[in-house]
Amino acid sequence: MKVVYLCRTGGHAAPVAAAIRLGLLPAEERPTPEALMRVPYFGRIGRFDSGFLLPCGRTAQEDEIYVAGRGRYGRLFSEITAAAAGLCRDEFRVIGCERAVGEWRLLAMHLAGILLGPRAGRALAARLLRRCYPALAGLALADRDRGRG
Amino acid sequence: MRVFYQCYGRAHTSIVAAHLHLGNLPAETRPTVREIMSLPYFDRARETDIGQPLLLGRDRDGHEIFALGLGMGIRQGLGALCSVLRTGGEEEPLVVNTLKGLGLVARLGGGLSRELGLVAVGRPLVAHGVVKIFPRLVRTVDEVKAVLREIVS
Repeated sequence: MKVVYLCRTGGHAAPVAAAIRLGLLPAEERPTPEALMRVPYFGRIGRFDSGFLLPCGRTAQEDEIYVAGRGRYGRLFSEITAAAAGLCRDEFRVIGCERAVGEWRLLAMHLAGILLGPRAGRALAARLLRRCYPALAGLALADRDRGRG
Repeated sequence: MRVFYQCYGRAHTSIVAAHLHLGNLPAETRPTVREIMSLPYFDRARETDIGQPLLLGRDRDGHEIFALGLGMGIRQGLGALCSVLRTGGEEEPLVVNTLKGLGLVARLGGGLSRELGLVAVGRPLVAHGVVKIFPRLVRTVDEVKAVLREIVS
């Protein structure tokens, strides 16, 4: 099974959900902003990366975990990803992380990257994500448990 | 191998190119506007079909021939398509842009028909534009077939 975690940029909520799923971050307690900033791909996805599946690792259950950004053309990305996944022999599961984060936080993270620059934007995004961390962990683990069932 | 003929809305040039590839439309003679308009799926796609590949059939060598519209998100759509297929262990697809050379009047006709629902006006306009660039589409399809032959051999 290939599991793809999606968010708007592919650089904030999705890598954190992927890290929780892979066991790189604890699911039960909120990590520090510094720990969030050390997550692979966190705040490091450019607009030219959006649309591509970026590999994160493999779980103990042999699920391959990827992150991707929907970018500006979110609906198109979702349509083409689902259609292409349907053409593959391997099974895909695509999970949107935006609902665990909320529209306002997503907007704030996006604007922070533009207005404050990459470094300060990353720090603010980490603080904002820390607030909705339990919801994000719930999302990541619900899928893991569904996969087990 | 999978071949995706790609245009804006999966309604016009990609459909004609896919039919040409499959031999549903003779390449030797320029078709009439009426013939183009009567092709299956020509000027039929809706906005929600953007991003949804349409399988029109298999050619003689077994290659799957698709029509695909990517709207304004060509770079991202192609990235997602190729990335997912590669990750899924599938062969890299051949994606061919068929929009090249399509005139402004034909694009306007396509927009009138698909975006505004003015089919009676828009469809003949876009079909006329497709007839005009038909030799170019034939050349494109010939090039694709040559590439496929090269890959197979």
